[in-house]
Amino acid sequence: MMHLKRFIEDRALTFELERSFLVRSCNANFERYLTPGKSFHDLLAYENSTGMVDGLRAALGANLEWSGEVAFPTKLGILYAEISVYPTDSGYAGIGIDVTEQALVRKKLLQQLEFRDQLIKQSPVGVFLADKLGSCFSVNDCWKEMTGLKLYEAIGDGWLNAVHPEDRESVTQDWNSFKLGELSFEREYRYQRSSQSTTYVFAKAVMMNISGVPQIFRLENDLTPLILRDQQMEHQRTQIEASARLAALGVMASGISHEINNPLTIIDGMAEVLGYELVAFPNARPKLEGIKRNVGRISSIIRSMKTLARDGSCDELESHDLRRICDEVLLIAEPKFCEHGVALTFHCNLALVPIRCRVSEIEQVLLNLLNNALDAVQESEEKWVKLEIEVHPKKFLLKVSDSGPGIPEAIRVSIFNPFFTTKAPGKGSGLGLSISKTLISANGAELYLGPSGLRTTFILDFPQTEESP
Amino acid sequence: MNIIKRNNVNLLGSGDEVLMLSHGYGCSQEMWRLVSPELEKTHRLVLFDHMGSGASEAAYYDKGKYGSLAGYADDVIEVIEDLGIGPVTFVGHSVSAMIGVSAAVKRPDLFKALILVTPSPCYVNSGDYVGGFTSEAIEGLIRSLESNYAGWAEAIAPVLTGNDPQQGKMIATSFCQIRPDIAKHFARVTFTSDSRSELPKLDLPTLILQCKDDVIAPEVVGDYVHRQIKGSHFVKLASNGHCPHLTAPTEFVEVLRAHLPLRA
Repeated sequence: MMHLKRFIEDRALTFELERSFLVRSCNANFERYLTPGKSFHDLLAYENSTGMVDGLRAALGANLEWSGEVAFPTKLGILYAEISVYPTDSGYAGIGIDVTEQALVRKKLLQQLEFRDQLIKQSPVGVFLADKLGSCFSVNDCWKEMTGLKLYEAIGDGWLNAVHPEDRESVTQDWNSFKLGELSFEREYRYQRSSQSTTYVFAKAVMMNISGVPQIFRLENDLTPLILRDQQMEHQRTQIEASARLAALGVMASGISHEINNPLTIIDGMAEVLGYELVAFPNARPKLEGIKRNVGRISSIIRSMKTLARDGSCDELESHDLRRICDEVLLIAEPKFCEHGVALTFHCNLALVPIRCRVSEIEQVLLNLLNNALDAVQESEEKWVKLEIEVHPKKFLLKVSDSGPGIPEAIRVSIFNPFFTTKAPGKGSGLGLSISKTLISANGAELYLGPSGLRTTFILDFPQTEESP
Repeated sequence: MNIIKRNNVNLLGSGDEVLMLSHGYGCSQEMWRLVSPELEKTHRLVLFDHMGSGASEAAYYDKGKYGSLAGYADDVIEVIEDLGIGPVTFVGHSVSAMIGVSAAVKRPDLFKALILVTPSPCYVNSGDYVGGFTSEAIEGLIRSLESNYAGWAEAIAPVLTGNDPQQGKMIATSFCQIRPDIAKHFARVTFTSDSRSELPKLDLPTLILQCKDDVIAPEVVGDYVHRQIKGSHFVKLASNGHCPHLTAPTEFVEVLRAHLPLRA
């Protein structure tokens, strides 16, 4: 009892309150902290939650004892005390003990944890936290942004659903090996935010001991801007190479046309002369006309090659006949189609289809679409490629259709992306459609895929000009 | 530590409709084990332990924060926000019913509806209000709990479970798994709380489930809650006691299914 008495004298805070919460009396220990004139309620108004103060008042109002930890602002600083207050006949009485030291240590620890949590939350790097079994329990905002997942979708193994389907199996294997302590987890992979958006990340995981509890921290750096920049550079490099090749072809085509056009003019002239001289030989006439027709065809091919190889990107848009452009391209394409046994047809009801464009670019795109179509029908039983021009209000649609197997629904959205290809390695760069789309846009038109179905149809959508009928 | 780990949050089931199951005093998410297998067939379930209960990280128990039900309500809000899963239908048992009301009044955007299982906004009679206990009775209850927590748990368990011995034993075990100092503090916060002023502020579809012969939250209290929450539905269960999800899980699930999704 002596010890208890001494403990109360040395350590206990005792006080009596009026019903109005004014301090009626207190022991020396409590008095050291009190500022004269401050009511107990004023003291409670500091730092303590409204809910707790309301709880205390409700308990005392209901004639019940209340106990808890409170914080008081005192002339000596903040006092944290564990107190019990209970009703008496004339007011309230309380007893407590100073727990400031413990409370401050605890609050400092909580502040540090809060600081750490805020750092993780605000970090510009994706942070993924898992327990020692690799089961996710927390991710930060950056990670959610990178993956498009909310925490409830990522929790446990849910995050694996966001990993790109082509990477999922290997990431799962690596993650399992890491959990078992067999391998480190330090690698690149992709998240698929949606069918159109991919995030490239470099991730590194470490096992850490937090307050004696093993946890996995995985930091993920978003590489998407870097990868996209590299792809863009590769795209530009390929375009430059293609331009250089076309320029070389242009120079060569000019030389060839000069060298061939002269003898062709002579052949054409001589055939004309022979026509007069052999007037008495009617059987010779069709043969001479055949010579003249083929000379004209050779001239057209050479003219088309010169146009096609020319870099017209700096030219102004000019008025041209889309039907004539198609004729020119078909002239070049037909031999290859014949060689592969593919029927190539062209249908147009109009005599003239005026559009504004740069001819060489439209020809390049059309030839590219025809080449793709030719590849697509190779395995088909019936092999045909069809070109047709349709008139619609305010626009002309040039449709390129083929009898190939069609484009699977899953890849329709990606087909115009740079480097996307369904051809075997080395058969296609995956740039053709991407470049075609860019070229067509630069001509004030649009290139898109027709409705999904059994056949594939690419549509070149040209606005009608003022000259249009 | 993040709230998901701190409050031992677990997800079950799938679907667009989310039920957040919130246990009462002295319990843990284990108390939902008889109803969750059925509910998870049609709903995504969020289960968690209140701070200091079950497998929560009791090191984070702050007597200041948890000196009132508002501290627990803030945790509920934080769990929903962190998961990014709201709005949820909150199913709160006993003291958790009022924790849910407090959270929903503070952040109605995170809640779709509330299901209050054997709620009591104030356990003590006060003026015309009948809470079921005199102040002396509550003080006696808390004092017996503080002086012999294990004995108190053994004695109260059959009362809560309508004399179902098996479930009574389970709830007594659950009571004894809480750190005694937290159990005592939480008990005082629970039984001295008064959330009556929050009820009229609630503007969400609400279902109130009332048991027969519930000595903790008698029918008169359930009826009071019903009258105070505009547009609420009041359903009297056939089950006895205070914990219908333990003593009559089939009836509990059937009633929930009959009323979900809750509409105003």
